[in-house]
Amino acid sequence: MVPAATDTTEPRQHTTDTTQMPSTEEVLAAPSGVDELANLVASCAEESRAVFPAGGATAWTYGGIPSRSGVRLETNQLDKVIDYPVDDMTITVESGMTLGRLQSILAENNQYLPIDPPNAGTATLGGIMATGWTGPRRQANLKPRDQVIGIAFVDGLGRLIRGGGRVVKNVAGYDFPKLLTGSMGALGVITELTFKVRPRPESTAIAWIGLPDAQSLASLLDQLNLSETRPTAIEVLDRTRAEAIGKPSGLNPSAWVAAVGFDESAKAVAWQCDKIREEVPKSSTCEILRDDASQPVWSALTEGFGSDDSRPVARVVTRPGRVAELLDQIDTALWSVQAHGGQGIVSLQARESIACETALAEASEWQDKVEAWGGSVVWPVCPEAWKADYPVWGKHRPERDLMAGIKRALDPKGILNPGRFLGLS
Amino acid sequence: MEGHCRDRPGIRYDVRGRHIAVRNAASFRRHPETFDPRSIPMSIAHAPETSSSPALATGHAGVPHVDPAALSALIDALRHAIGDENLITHRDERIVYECDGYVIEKNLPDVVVFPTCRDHVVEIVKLCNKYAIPFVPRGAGTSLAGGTLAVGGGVMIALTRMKRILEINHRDRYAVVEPGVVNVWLTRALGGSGFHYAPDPSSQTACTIGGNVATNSGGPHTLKYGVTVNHVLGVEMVMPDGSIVEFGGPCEETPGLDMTGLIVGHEGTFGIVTKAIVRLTRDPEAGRTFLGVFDSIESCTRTVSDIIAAGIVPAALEMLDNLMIRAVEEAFHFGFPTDAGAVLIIETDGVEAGLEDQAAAIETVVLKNGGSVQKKIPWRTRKEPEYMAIWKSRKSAFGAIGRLSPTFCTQDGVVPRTKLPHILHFIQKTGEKYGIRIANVFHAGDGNIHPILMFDETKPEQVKTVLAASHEILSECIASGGSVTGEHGIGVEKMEFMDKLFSPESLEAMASVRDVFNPENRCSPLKLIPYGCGCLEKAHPGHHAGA
Repeated sequence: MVPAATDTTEPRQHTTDTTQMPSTEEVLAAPSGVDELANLVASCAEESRAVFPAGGATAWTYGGIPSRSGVRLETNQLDKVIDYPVDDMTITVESGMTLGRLQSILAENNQYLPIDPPNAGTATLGGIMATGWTGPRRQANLKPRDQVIGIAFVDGLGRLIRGGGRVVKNVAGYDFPKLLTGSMGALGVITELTFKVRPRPESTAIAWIGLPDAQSLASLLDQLNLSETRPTAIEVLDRTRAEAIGKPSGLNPSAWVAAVGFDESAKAVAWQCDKIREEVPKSSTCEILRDDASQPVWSALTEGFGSDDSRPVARVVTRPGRVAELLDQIDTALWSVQAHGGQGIVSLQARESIACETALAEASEWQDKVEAWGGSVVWPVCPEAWKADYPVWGKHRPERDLMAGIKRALDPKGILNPGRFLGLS
Repeated sequence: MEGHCRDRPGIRYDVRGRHIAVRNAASFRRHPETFDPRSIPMSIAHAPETSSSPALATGHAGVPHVDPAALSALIDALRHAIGDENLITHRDERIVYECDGYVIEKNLPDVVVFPTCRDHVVEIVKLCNKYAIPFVPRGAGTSLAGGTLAVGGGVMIALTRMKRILEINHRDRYAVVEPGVVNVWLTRALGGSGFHYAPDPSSQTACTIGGNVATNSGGPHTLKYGVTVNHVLGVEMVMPDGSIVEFGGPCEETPGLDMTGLIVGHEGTFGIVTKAIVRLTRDPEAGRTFLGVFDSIESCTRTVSDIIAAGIVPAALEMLDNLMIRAVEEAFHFGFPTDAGAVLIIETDGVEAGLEDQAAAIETVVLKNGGSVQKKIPWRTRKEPEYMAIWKSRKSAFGAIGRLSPTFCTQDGVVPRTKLPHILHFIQKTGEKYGIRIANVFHAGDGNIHPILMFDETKPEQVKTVLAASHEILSECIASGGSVTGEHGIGVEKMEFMDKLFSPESLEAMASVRDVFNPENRCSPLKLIPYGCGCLEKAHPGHHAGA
């Protein structure tokens, strides 16, 4: 039986007002162990009751509207370190641990996990992997799925399923760690994760490059593609965003700014800072922030736009070589811009509350263009009222039927996060 | 001549100890890292046609049944669809395709087809469905676990004639290739551009990118740069029902499930990849490659663990033991010290300004463990002659083994990196216990071992001994917290270990995911997941793909 309600042992801090999603809160459950969690999901499966997994709930409003009510299943009590063989540079933890706590455990051994989504202090590892969210250092570290080597999850029948293992190289069985990353809790409730970790870089820096127009931004991005430096982040900001991020550190805004990050040994970072000054176009300005001085900028870049529903955020994915061309088309009076410039991932936030029709009319212009380049537009943050009419996950792709098949294979009763991901129920 | 086939009847045993016939004894020598299928004459002198080969592992539950009348009709239809020149049926020609780098279990496909384009693949797959005949894709056949074995016969779809590099886009950092493109061809095509395709299996001069995608191949430089899955952005696949689906694409991400991440490593069980979109990586600005020399395997493996523990992430960390050193030196004359207990090829790369300090830190670890650094190769590009020479020696190491033993079996296990001293000691003891010579050359930085067990295939008891020793070594990998495969896959060889790595529920979940792609299990049947885990198999325990 599903419990009527279970109190969590610690007060929770949610970044979003969860009362907006009443149907997911019919019952609250916070199992203290994996067996309890699995039993709970199995009971829900028997009763065909929906389950909405929650970690730090930092992405609680992400995705479509839940199609029915159910149990909010909190994983926060699953927060133990299971295995940390320091010298193997791997760590296995329960999924309810926050990224911040994991990083402080790793820092004791001068190691870190190269994943940098927002809200590290509250977001849990299970939630981060379920959303697949990343930050500016993705330029060097690829996606979260590229750091995970093992996973355990409870599927929609309450079965504990494992994939991968605890060694850095392993091709036994299908790659469930990758399948589950970004699956939005629709295939299973992640309970355990094994990551490969890295030594902490000795030094860091940000080169804050100001550019007068989109054309010079295009030249800079082309140049950075072949730079002698090896940036770990290339964040492109419009003037408004550059002001918000740079001003506290005394940095000057321009029409466009590229914040180019480096993380390495002190000597390697110093050399790259010198080199990039030589490489930037004549029309640009270049200010360098080293180590501690760069941290506020890194933090602001990492936190991104947040999740204020009244100011929708579009995530536009295009080819890296098309970023400047796309940005030239954006009305920066309406939209703030922060883009992972080396990877073609452009986030746009409405500068103020905006009508759905206006936003969608704007978006239709980018959409056609980026889709022709093989890209996509999704809406990670938008008012709930939009979600009924607008596909927040973008257009259906041809492989959606297979995705639906996988959903049915692992959650045959459709109880996990129904309606929130790709409209899968 | 490597890979040249000749008939020599003999005896051998499959992994379950059953007695099976040896037809192609010479192929035991064939090792994936040297075997070049193109070296095999397409027209081998025809031996008199005999009855078809004893089906591999006949008696296995679920081995597909191939109906002779349906097969005959299918072959006629295939001939019509793709042309006589793209199909072989004669037994002597098919022998080349009876196994991959795992030569201990073999079975002849009933027909081998060589599509030259995606439409051919679609036609072939549709016809196989029409006549209910199983089919299996194959690249260069360099893998080590029988992933391309035609279990029960049927149609082998050899993709080596789909070999075009369709697009290279430096600005958007991707390339589009057909599955039969040999890994090194892409490396060469990118030479001098400032970009490379990172996965570089030791067999890269023979293995295909389609095969790399199927097995999620690694290679020496995966230590820093990751394995194949980290470098594939999308694939086009002909599904087992003949439909075409594109997954992922040239952009960094697509909304929805990470189907590309799931597909890489599918070992042919989801469908036939007909196109891969791969990521291009910026070349390192500079590098240093060292040869660390040690008296013993123990001091060498301790050095590996200590380098990782010191927080250094080298680009590559490859170990050769004394047997390998001698074989490689005799073959390539690089200058390896033949009296050393073990050597370590250590490579670090990045921006030049940071490399000296890293080099000094590495040298300190080597000296602390009683070793010495006998060569230091600084490089700016991977074209420096000494750099190329040391890597040629490493990547061709398996070819040199032929100097030590006419036949050998290479294993592919993984242990946590700190367990390397333990597993190498275990391998040595296992060799002594069974009286087998075992050489070691492997990706030490990843904990990915490749013990090479040498034997004489004309002596059936030695084949059995080698299989038993392999089994013990892989079991010890599991006991040490590792895995039975780092880069070659489960195939048919390692299915018996799957229930030691995963619970019945996990295997069922894997089978149910496979069934989404491949519901009839007609594409690569009896691979990767033990028979009996899938829905169809549960619902119809007696089901045969051809029945």
